[in-house]
Amino acid sequence: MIRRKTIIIIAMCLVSALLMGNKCDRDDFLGATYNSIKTMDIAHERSGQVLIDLKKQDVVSAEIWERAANASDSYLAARDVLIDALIIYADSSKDNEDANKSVVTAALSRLDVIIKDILALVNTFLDNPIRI
Amino acid sequence: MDGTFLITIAELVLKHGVPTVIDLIKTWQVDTSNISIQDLEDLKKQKPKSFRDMLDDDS
Repeated sequence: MIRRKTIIIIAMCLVSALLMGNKCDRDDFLGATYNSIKTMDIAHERSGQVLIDLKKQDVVSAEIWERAANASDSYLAARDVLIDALIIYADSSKDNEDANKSVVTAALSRLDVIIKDILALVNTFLDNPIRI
Repeated sequence: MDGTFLITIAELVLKHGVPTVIDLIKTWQVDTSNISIQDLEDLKKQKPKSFRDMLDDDS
């Protein structure tokens, strides 16, 4: 019984240490955000292809297409804002790093909301939904 | 992170051993390769096409 408890405590310490070690520093945060943008770009492109195919088959109404196209424009605008914020963050001094990181986080959330709206719209037409 | 999560991890350690669980945890890590400002500027230039542009290209 003691051995089992010891193992559990050691395991907890190990996990805590690993999680602390994973705490994002600037490079990690930049890398993670960069990868998120790439992933969302793929989802955006795939959504566009699907919608265009559906539009050709007259499955998607003009109204839905217009909504999706506007969301796509919003996505691209929000993407620019995010990357600009990310460039400023990457070039931050230690003093304004946190403030700039908050701006990036807000911009990333905005992009995430837009791409999820696009996916929600596209996925209503699909048996196998696109996921990110 | 709550206690249930830690207990789950502890159970995984007991069941599968420390190396397996460490491998599992490593898969949670993001790619930490160094992203330079140039990489970000390149990413900005690699702007995806809008749905309208994709449709124009397609027709």
